[in-house]
Amino acid sequence: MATSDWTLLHNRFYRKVEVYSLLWRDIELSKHLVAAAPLGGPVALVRADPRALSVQAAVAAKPILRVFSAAGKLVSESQCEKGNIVAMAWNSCEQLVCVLETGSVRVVDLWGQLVSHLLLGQDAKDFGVLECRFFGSGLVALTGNLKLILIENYSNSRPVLLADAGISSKPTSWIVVPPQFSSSNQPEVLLAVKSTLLVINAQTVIDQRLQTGPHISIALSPNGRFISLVNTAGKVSVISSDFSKQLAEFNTGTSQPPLQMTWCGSDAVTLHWEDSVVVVGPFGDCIRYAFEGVVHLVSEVDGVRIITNDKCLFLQKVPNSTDEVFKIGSTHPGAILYDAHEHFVRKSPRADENIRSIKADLTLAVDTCLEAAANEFNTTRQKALLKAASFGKCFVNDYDAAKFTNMCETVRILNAVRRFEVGIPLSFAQYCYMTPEVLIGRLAQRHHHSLALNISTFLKLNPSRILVHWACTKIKNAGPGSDTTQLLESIVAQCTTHNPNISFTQIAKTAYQHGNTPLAAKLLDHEPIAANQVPLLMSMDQDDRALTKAIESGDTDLAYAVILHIKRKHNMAEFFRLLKGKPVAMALVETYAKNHHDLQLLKDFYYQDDRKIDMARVFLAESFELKAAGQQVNQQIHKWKESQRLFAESKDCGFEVKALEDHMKLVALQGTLEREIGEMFVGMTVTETVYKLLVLGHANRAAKVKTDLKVPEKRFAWLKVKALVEQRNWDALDKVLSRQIRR
Amino acid sequence: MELLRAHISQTLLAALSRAGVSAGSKAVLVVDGALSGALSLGVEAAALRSAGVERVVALAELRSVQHSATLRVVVVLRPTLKEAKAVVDWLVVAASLGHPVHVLFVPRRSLVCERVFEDAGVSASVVLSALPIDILPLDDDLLSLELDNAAFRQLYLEKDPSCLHSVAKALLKLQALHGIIPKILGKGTNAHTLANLMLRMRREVDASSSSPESSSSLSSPSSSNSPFNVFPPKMDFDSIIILDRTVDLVTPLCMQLTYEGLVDEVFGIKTTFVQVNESFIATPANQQQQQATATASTNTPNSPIKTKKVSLNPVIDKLYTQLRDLNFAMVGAVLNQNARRIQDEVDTRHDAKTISQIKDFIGKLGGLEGDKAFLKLHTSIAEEITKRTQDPDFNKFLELQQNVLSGNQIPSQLDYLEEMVDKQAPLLQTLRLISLYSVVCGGIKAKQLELLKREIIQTYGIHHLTTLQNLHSLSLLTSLPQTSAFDTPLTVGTGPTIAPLKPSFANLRKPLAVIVDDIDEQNPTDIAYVYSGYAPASVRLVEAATGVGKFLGVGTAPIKPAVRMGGTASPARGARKERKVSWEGVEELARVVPGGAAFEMEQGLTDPNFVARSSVDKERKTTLVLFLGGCTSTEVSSLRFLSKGKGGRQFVVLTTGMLTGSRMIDSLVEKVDNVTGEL
Repeated sequence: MATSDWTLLHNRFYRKVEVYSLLWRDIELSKHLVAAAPLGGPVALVRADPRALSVQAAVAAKPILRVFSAAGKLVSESQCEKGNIVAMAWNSCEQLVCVLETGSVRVVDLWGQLVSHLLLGQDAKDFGVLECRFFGSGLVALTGNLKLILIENYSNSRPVLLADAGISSKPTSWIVVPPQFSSSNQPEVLLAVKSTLLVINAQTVIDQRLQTGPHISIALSPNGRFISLVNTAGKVSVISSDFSKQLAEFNTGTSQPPLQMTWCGSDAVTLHWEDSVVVVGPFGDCIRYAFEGVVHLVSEVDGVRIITNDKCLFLQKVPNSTDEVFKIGSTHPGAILYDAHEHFVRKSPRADENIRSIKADLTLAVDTCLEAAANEFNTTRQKALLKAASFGKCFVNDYDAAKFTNMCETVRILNAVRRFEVGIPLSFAQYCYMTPEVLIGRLAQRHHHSLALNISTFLKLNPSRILVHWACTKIKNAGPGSDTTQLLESIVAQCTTHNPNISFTQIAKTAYQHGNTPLAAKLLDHEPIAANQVPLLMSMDQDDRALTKAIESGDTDLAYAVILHIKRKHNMAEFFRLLKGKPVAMALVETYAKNHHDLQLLKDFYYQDDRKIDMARVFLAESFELKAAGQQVNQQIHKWKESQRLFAESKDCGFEVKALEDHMKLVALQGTLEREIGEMFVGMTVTETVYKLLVLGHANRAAKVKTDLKVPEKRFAWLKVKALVEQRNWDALDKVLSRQIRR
Repeated sequence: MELLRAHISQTLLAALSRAGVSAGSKAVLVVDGALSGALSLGVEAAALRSAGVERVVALAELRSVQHSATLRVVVVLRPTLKEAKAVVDWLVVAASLGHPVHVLFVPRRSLVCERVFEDAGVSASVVLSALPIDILPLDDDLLSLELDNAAFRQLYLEKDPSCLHSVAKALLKLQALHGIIPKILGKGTNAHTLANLMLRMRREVDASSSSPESSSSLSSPSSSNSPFNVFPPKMDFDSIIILDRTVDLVTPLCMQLTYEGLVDEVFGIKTTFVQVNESFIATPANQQQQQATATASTNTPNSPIKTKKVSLNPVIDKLYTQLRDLNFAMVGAVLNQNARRIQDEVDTRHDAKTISQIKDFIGKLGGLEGDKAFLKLHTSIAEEITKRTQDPDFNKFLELQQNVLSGNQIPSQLDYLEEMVDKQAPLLQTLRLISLYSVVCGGIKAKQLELLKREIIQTYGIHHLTTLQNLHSLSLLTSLPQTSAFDTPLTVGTGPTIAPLKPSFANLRKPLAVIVDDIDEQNPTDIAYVYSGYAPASVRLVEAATGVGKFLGVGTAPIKPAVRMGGTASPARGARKERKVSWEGVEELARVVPGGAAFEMEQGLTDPNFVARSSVDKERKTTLVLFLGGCTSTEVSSLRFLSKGKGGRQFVVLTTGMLTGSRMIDSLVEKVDNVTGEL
């Protein structure tokens, strides 16, 4: 019977499903520090040395950390850092966070590998950490001097001291409200002090002025809207998380503090005392389940996972669809359809009768059966429900078949991950909450790459992430003596068959970090994005290839990055050697030197490349700068001579040599003219010089310049005419022109 | 192009909000002068205001901005050293008060510029980020990256391929908006590099859209992946033709004779804005006019004549749309027509008898006022241009241009070139004409060339030694080979050596039919109207590849060589209905055109099923013509003319910038600061 494990709580049924019979043996939860991740996550156990034992013993031994899957299969076993673990919990990436008494926070992955290591600061170090509370991405620690220290994000934040609560003794209990649920959008702490609750964030302390305390246990519902409190009198009360409403009250009848209090979904509160678990509903009723000894409760979005010494159970409010189909005496279309199908199998005519009676609601009936199938842990019942849905679907004209196939897919995925080898006991609601992408990621983290890949293909998602993770894992586990070529081949073959455009950078980086540089280099060759290859190549000291790849990418900025890196790192000779044969790189260096006005670099560059003409041009440019800077002509002449020499050594530069020759002649002439006439000439062109002389009336001198520098007759005539116009010497102009005409 | 405009404004507004500018905040937007036009094309001033920008300041006036604790400053600039240094200088003075200054590099950050900020030690008070605005829709059929003329120098003189990366990026963006362009044609080495780069980037986009962001986000919720939907399944462009500017250096050197071309030559159009004498603008400016000018009215304080920036925006200015593609000879007539039309419409007020008729007239009044203002603007501009075209030097220039182009070489032409130097004519004009002569004739006789060069050095200064070398290395100024015609002239790039005909202007003149003798400027039948008898070789090449214009029906189908090479190709229509965009059948033509080898590639569409559908339902196909190193406005006009003509093909131009001969030459001229004696 589907309803055999159902129990009524006020008007709704709750069911306790046995998911796994645990694979572990001889574990006594009461003797362990337990951390279990929600969403079917793993369970971490550290043998808790009874505090009473001698301090030396606790300090001397490094505790053993064991991680199990939810089915109790050992995933990893590792030694922790020396020291007393105060608390541990899983973060939202399924990494285990362990807080030691000394204020050291270690984040390790499923396999016991250290991911990051943080310190909680001086207060924690000096006074020790008393207790810790965790939320998705961070934690709050209570130190021996009653200060609260917040780490908001394990990856990138420093410890922050929260506002001082001004308390003199340890709070009777406390929790953290994650930022997404708090009114200030930052993590808040609820501190049970005396009879009231204090709400504390980084800046403020607010007293909620409750009278119901002292509270010995607090819990926040998974949707963040309710808070349940237990006071010393054994009274459980539920209030809204903004403290505006009192919602329910229940008297447990015992003043013994519960071992654990968590929420079962957001509908009921679960309390655990030794040998029993009590579910308290919103209307003050309760269900009492008996358990042997101590269990561990894990709050889930739709229920609570109960881990006992030998079993994993799931306690939830029976989902609506399941309730509607299976509740005894249900007249919901879904129930009738299910019934009809049973009759149909038995070839009973009642099938037809049933279908007729729900004709109008058949779509609803099919939908309900489908959802109930997804909510079911028992595969036989899943099948029966799916068959009923399939049966009912035939009577609906245009039922959207995609709904049916999608649900079948979902059920298959859920069954696949629930298998005890994998051990992720997800309910349908949890699966929807976590999304398939995250599920796939978690599977990859647990090294179930093949399953992850299958699911991803099944759902037509991009497999790249899994492939990259798989390849990185493979490299990490390969060890130093493994065959690089084989590794490379298998990785490349696997990855490219599933996604021809996969990016290899991450994989190569991993290989490099694990000391396998040759493999990293070879992997990079397969990287389709050139820009991604470059930084890694640079850090691997493969500057030559980094430069080639940077140029290949067409991104000159990247090429500049490599060029400047090389320039800084190597001497000039090596720098130029690396540039050789890369015309683009050479052009970039040229541009860079010109833009930055690094004429020395430019000259060195041309010199090693034997580009005399370009070098000559640099000297030329330099000479003009000297002039701009008001330097003496002598220095300019030096530059011109140098330039001329270089031109003379190159082919086809006769003109340039001649032009410079003339120019120097001109400058010399101008010098003389300046001395003789006392007017500025240096810096003028030949034409300008002649013109100025003519305007000033030094016809003879103009003629000398003309002959010395071989100014053509024609231009001279033009200049003469122009000068006469300038002088307004109309008579002379008339003479010149008439002579011209006569000719 | 609406897609693009929307994209630009989205990008800018998003960047502003990232910089902490929100409605009601008092933000100052500092804009690099070279980008102000670009921004105003994409975003209206009103939109900026409502986004929280209190005022817009030109980068040149950055000093006037007082940084205070409450003020948010956003600087938009190009990633060039000079601009970056200007901002750094200001930052050093303006203490690091209040909010950090946000610097947005358009279109991307550059390492070299970021270093400027680091080296000055102001990194702490700035936030550097990129503002990926690259393609600007100057018009519905004209996209430009507005990389100013530096792109030409970089690509062909310095061989610095930086801008190819920007162009490739821009092409990718275009394809992300308009769908993959399956067919790629090109000519020139840079074109080839670009095509490969673009294909490579597409692969990279495909790859990165499928790669994990980082492994740490592996299992926490909210890691999103959107596979393979970067490029929409449509095909607004079925082909792209990429041309190196060196394919046709003659066209930009020629004096443009369309209205827009001449406006650009005389006034210089910068991102649709043009600086004109203030008196050109009607004083009782109507609203549209105000909008057009208000967006950017930066007066240059030094100029004696008050000038003002006006937008030649075809969206607002309908008269300009009418005028821009016309041969300048026709502009007067059209202006007259418009004047008369407006007068007629104004005169209808006398006929307005009834109240409703008067109301009708009043309704039209606003539009008429606008028309009048535009008429005044264009009449004034046209007058100014006429002054220029009546100048004897201008006419000499034209005469020489037409003669040289059509192959009438006479010795006196060289004399005229010499005379220009002797008369100390403006350097750019001189060099432009000399280059034109040299390129078209394949060079100048060594002795004469040397003489000419000496004249230039003696007149314009020794520093032009480098300028002359620059011109030489671009084959703009070469000496005529002295030996027989078998010798390869210096102009040849890396073309195939077996070619019987060397790529040169003389060899392409006939097969490309670049000279058209009878031109009807009023009702043009050929693109040659834009230069009154010369058809831009670049556009002819596009015609040949797409089988439109002069090459209607030519190509693709194997046609007999005689027909293929015929100057005026006989339109062998019907031979093949579906004319593919291809060099096939016109390889020989492509070979005589200089500038490197022609190539053809294809790239797969995102959705293979899409090809069949699209080829059926779309009648008018569109080709994107990409000019690497700039294009002239005459080339745009020519392609517009082709879009209207037979052949059923539309053309959209994408260019690195708008070019004129003077700007092209100017980019090659060696600039020396503080050189005395500039005439």
